[in-house]
Parts: sequence; structure tokens; C-alpha cells
Amino acid sequence: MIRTATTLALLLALLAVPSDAEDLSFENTLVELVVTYQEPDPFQPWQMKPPSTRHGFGTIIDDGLIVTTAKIVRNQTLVEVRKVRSGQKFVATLMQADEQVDLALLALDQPDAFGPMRPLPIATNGLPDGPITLVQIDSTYQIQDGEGQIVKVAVEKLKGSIYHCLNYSVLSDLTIRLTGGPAVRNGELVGIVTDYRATERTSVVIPAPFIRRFITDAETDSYTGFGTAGFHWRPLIDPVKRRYLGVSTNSGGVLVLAVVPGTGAVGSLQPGDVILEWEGRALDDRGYYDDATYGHILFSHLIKLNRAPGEAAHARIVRGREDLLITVPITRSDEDSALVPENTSRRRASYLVEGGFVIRELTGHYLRSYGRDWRARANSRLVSHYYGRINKDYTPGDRILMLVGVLPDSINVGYHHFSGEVLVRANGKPIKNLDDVFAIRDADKAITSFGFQSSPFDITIDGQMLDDANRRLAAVYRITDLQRRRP
Amino acid sequence: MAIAIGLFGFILATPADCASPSRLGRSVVKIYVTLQRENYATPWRANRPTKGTGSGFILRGKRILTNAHIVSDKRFLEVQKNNDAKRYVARVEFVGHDCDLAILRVDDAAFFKGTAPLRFARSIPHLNDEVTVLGYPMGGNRMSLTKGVVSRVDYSRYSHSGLDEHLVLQVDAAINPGNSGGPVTFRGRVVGLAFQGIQWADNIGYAIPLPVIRRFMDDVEDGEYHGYPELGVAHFASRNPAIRQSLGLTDAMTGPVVYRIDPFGSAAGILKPGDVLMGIDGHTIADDGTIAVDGTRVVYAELLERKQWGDAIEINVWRERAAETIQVPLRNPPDPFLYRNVYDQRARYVMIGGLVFSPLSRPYMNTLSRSRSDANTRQLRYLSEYAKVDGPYLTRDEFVVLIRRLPHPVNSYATGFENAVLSDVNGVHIRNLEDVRNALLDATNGYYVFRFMGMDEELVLDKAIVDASQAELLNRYSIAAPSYFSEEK
Repeated sequence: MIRTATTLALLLALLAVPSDAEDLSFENTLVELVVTYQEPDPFQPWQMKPPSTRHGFGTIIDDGLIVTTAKIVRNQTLVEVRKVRSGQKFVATLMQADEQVDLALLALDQPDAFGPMRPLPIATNGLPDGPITLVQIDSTYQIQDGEGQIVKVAVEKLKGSIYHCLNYSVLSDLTIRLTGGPAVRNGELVGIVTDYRATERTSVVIPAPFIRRFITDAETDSYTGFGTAGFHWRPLIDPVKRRYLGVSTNSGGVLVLAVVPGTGAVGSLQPGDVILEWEGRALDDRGYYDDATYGHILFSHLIKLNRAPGEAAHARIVRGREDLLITVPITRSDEDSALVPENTSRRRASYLVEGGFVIRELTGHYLRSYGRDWRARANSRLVSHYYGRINKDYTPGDRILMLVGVLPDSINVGYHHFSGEVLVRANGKPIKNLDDVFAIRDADKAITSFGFQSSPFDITIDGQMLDDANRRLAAVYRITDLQRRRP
Repeated sequence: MAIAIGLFGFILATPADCASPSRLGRSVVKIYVTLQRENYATPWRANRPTKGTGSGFILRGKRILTNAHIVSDKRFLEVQKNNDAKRYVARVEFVGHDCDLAILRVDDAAFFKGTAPLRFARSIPHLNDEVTVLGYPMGGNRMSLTKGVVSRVDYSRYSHSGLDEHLVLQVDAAINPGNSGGPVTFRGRVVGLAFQGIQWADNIGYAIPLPVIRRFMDDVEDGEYHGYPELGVAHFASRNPAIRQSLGLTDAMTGPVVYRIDPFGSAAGILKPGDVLMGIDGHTIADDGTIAVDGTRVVYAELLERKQWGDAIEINVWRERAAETIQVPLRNPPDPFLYRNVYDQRARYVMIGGLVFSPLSRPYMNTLSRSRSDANTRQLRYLSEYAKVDGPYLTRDEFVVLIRRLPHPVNSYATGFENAVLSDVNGVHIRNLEDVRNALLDATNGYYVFRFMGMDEELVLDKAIVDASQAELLNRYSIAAPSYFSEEK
């Protein structure tokens, strides 16, 4: 069931588009984006990496409103917009981005900067019923387009992300230069290009219903986003396992492996449950169902598109050989409740530098910053924490606190070799996340003793010298802020 | 300056060396070995036998000293005297894998006719002293002699075990493959045993020095090799004024602070984190853990290098603001979480329903590509490094790993478990491989249910199907025995 927007700003396509002939002049619809960005430095969290530039495309969908991908504008410091046959650049501001669907909404600072534009309405139909046109700007600043066919509709992981989303794989002879461009059918936007696989000549396209929902949500006062049911599952194909669980071998159904702390699955689903139907749709043994619009796809699509955080989904399960109907509350799919958040959007980390001890929480982004070989290069204990292999029963909000390293100074002589350690005590008190560390620091005025997972013995620094040392460290190592708390 | 006339009538002017090469040649033997390494990835089969050669030398008492790495995993061993056509079968009497030394015996008394044992020097030579290396390296068949000077005496890792560090003599005489096991002499007496080189360096060769050899010889006098005792102390320097103050150390007191105690070390239960190690066997320990021995600063652990099992070491500690003298008996319990290279042993395993379980070991980890990115392989690395630090060792004697799935309809759906560590079978906690064998005797309602460390999913096999398929699996994959439990002595 697709959410219809009540603010009809998008559906008021003031410019009528002929339905039987494609108006292929996208000069006033398609723009190029020049994004200046700066990513944070995970090892020196007070610092950003050098600024750099990304290029991509965007589509005008309303007065001065541009939709593009979240990846293009990630960590942007400046977004400049350019249209064809013009060298002029105009600044746009990021209104909302959501890496869970890889979409972003920008607004031109001057909505009429380019003069009259031709916004593209977002398609309301589910699946395009014929060939799609992919449009881009070529290297000589001309509009270029090509016809494409949807060769696959599937729920897949977004590139470079932990999130899954339904997408179209569009085969076309147009070589896509940059992502973010529109996929068009009958003068309507049917999708945005999020990735291009050159060897397969295939573009990965985020479908219109997600764009529609994202834009509508982005225009409200508080962004709701997309939801999760909060459980890990596996296909249940093995007939032996089915017999063992007391589930018939003829029916479909998938196996619930674990529930994620802090989500709606806690209290509603249990490990060992077999889900036979989700929202009335029968699941096969791999978790696929027959969608009226999209065909044979994974049931997780129903959670992402058909439900929003705050709503609840219903399911038919088998638990302990009993057939049950249950309700699963849908919550915001939020990395923040994970023990080791991925930090897909590469936000700046919170941290504390105290007496040269650089303390932060472990994230997936931190580990991946070691490079391609990160699994072998990063500390093996941290990697196992990331894979959830050590600490399975945690309270949402708990984090793995780590010592990145010690910035050498006279206050911390003898401790310079400590790095990559997991911090479990501050001033002798147990800590579960950086908030705990700041709370202790606020109460005790300073952190002078550090306890690591590797030993019951805490190391200490001189509290009297700490203020001077912190000032000195900030000056010598050019640390602009010795701490950053969670906003 | 001495002029020696050799047995064969040629004149040698050897200012420093009092024994002629031909005389030394009566002490140096060539070793021919056929060895066969175990294959830890498929533990029911071994690798192809390979041949190698090395050197050794004769000691008093009709013994031959050589490297452990020449005779490890041997299947057939022969020795040959210089300028003699005959080869004699030899056997290994003692082997020390933690110091790469071995003693061979030849039962045929005729072998020792015309040989002369070498004698040990009293001490190791100094830097720049000229030494002679004898042996049978590549590049020819006959005995070779190279000369060089002692370049360095230092601690270094012995690559045979992959883990142990001992004193090493570095010389710039050529030491090449085949030289291993041959003597390094100074003025005709043995000061070392050539054993490793560095591929990318010029003029660097290593020898096991006299103290390590002597310790090995002393160790085996009771008929068994015990090995080096380990103290098992991780420490950090007590340099920071804040820690010194909180521990109550005055400026006059020095010594590192104990950070962690290895549960399988000699100090377990005797020393504890927070102890300051001020002295060991009468030597004062500096803040960085070094002591003065014969005019040089060395890590205090070097004193243990001279000790045998059963010896004790006396440590002066500062504990809870008071000085104490503590005797630490040097005796280590067997440590299954010390991942050394393994030799002269068969890999233990059990195969059930095509699933092959084997304990985690260093040779097994060496078979895994470094670039493997799955969570299970990463967890193995974590366990090998942190088993004794974080506590997994408390509930296990070893980590039993599902090392392989031999595809067969009985296990077609059991994917994603490779390299996972077994937690329990049919609800029974698994401490070691033998527990697996025992747990499999009792199936839960006709199923074998395997649970693994850190994984949510269970692996379920049908007992009747497993039993029915066992013979077919053994046949299809040419497996002689479905399990191997006991270790060869």
C-alpha cells in the first residue's frame, strides 16, 4: 500500500507533459551537482580530512527543489548546482538526506536562479510498464539520454551501505558518468540512479515510491524515516531443520535467529519462531512473496515501504509447534541503538581527549578506515566486537569504548604504547558509553584513571597537572576541541 | 701465529683457529631426511613426503647435535660422515621445538669409527671475533667451510616454533640452506650451531649460541626434555609519576608494574597486577624491566633463559606499599592456548556427517588466507590472541573448530558455519574434542544440534541420516579413519 502525499506540492505538475510523446528536452529538469565535502578523521576525531569534490546529477521536482542521492551529498560543506548550456553555479542547501534509501533533498538558495524550470512529477504507478529513459549530462555539457529496460526488481543491499532497499536494475547502452540522475517514463520520474555497474551496463535505480515517501516526509517538521521490525532471520530450506522445529516441509516460512535490542521485535518475536506470513502474504522458504506490483521479492520490502515507524505489522508464525498471529511494532531503523553502529553517513564522532588519551566509541566506519585489509589490520578484538561475536546481550545505548591511542606528553609518559584497547572503567567506575565518561568527568572534574578490558589494574595520571597538560596538548597537536559530546 | 700441517699434507696458516678443517671434518656430519608434514586443513591426510639435507656434529657420548627443524616430522633419517660413502640410519633421541635443537643417535657403532667429538668453548665469543662455520650447504656436495666475525649477540625469534625468543649469535659468515645444524667454532671449540638466515639480507647468518645449547643439554640429562619455563608476566614501565605516587614508590625504587598474569605461567597465583618487580635473583630491575648482566642491560626475563623446570626464581616485589620477597617455582602447566608451530604430532579431528572438527592450532591458522573476511575466521584470530586475556579459556580446554564441511546430502544446508567454534552439542557444553565424541553418543530426539560461539543459528543434522551416510563419506573422500584423538608421544 503506497502512502499518498497529502501535501500535493509534488503532484501539482503545472507543466502538462504529453503522454504519448516523450518531451526529451531535460535541460530545465536535470542539473549537475558539484559537492564539496569533508569527511571526519576517525583516528583524530577533532579533525576533518582534507576537503574534496564529488560530482553527480540531480532532478528538479518542484520550485527550486532538487532530489539526488544521499551518497553524493554526504558530509557536504557546499553544494553548487549547474545546468546545461550555462556555466553559472548556484548554491543549494541540504534539506534532508537518508542513507537508508540513498536519497537527498536539496533546495536552491534562490529558487528562481535558473529561471523557469520544468520540474519532473514523481510517478504514482508502481512498476514502469515499458522502456525507461535514463538521462544525464555528458562531458560537453549536453543532455544525453538512452533507453533502458528493467531486467531485475529485487531487494538488495545499497552499495557501500548496510541497508537494503528494493531497486530496479536497468540495462541500457548509455554509459552512466555520474549517479543521481533520473529514470523517466511517460514524462514522470520513476527512479533515481544510485549506482552503475559498468561491466554489466546496468544502473541501480531507487524506485519512485521511495522518492515520493522520502520527499513528503522531508517536508514535514520532523523527519520520520523508514522502519525496521528488528530481527535477524535466515531462509528455512533444510527439511531436517523443519522437522526439528516442528514446521511442515510443505509450507514456506523463514527462521528468526535473533531479535535486536531496542526494537519492536523484542517482546513480540523470539529466536526459533518461523514466520509463515507477513502482513497476510505467504512467504516461501527463502523469504520471498508475490507482490502485486513488483513480483517475486523479499518480504522485508513490506516493512520498509508499507509501514512507517510507529505503526505495527502483523504476522503469522509457528512457535513451539503452535500457530500464532502476532503483531510486531515497527521502529525507526536506527544505527544508534547498535552496540557498534556502522556510521554509514560518516557523521563526526563524539570523543574525549583527556591527558592525551584519545577516547571514542567504536563504529564500523572507524574499522573500515584501516583500508581494504581492515579485517586483518585492525585490532582483532575490535573486529570481533563489530561482528557481534563477543557481547550479544547489551542494553541499547551501550557502546564499545576504545582508546585510539595516547598523544605523547609528559603527563602520560610510560603509557605511550597503549592503543586499540577497550576502555571499561574511568576513575574506577564502570562505563558503558561516552555519556557515562562525560558524566564521571563532570562529577569528578577530570578523568585521571583509566581501566582497560585487558587488566584489572587501572593506570593513572596526575590530576593536578591535567589542566595544564590538556592546554599544552591542544596547542601542540592543534586540537581545536578536546571533547565533543553527542548532540 | 701457528702453522698447522693438515693430515693431507697441505699447509694451512690459520692464525685464529687451532684445529684444521680436516680435523674438524671428522666431527661434522651430513644429514639426509625424508619428512612429511601433517595437513591441518584435511587432517586425515598428510602432505607429500619431501627430502632435505642438513648438517650436524658429533659430541662426546656418541651423540649428534643438530637442529630440530631438520628432523621434525621425519619419516626416514640418515647420517653420513665426511669423505665416507656409507650412510647410516639415525634416530632422534631428544628434540626441543622451543629452541630448535635435537640430539640424534646412530645405533651402528661402526659409524663412530674415525670420528672425533667437538668440544664446547667456555663462553660465547665477543663482537668481531672470527668464527668458522662448517657444514653441507647448497652449492656442492662436500663439506664446506666459511669464516666470518661475530656481528651481534641479541634476542630474536626462533622461526621453528614461531613464538619463542632466545639469544642468537649473528655472524657475517655465509650460512645457507643446508648449513643448518652445523657447528660454529671459535679456536676449535663450539660456540654455536648454525640455524637460520634472512633471505633479503647480505652477510647475515644466525647461530644458536652456546648458552642455549648448554641449557638444552642440561635439560635432557634426566631423560626428558622439559623446555623453557615461562614466568608469564606482562608489565609496563613505572615511569609515570602519578602511578609511582599511587603505588607508594619512592625515587630510589625502580621496577616495572605487573599489568597482567598469564594463567598458565609460573607466576599465576603468585604475582598479581599492581605488583612492582624491583629485583630478580639479586639483580635490581630498572623501570623499563632491564637488569645489568656482565656489563650490558638485558630484559630481566633473560635470567629465566638459563633456568630449568623445577628451579625457582626469587623476586623482590613492592606490593601494597610494602616490600616482599617471593619465590616463584618455575613450572608451567601445559598451555593449550599457546599457539606454537606443531611437529611430530598428528592433527586431532573427528568427522561426523561430513563435518570435520579439529582444535584450533597455529598450523591450522596458517592454512587460512589472511584476506578471508568472514566473521568466523576473524573470530579465530581474536581467540588466538585474546583467549587468556578476555576469559574464553576459562570454559574450555581448547577451541574446537568446524574446519571443513565435506559436501554430501546429509549436510547440504549446513553452510555458513565454516571456522566457527563449537559451543555445545545437543545441549552439552564442549570443552575439548573428546567432549564432541561423547556428546555424539546421545542424540536429542534423533537430531544432532550444534551451537557455535557468537552465532545465533544452530546446525541440525538427522542422526539416522548421519549414521547411514558415514561409510559413504569415508569412502567418497578417502578418509581412512573418522577420527583421531590421541597424541603420539
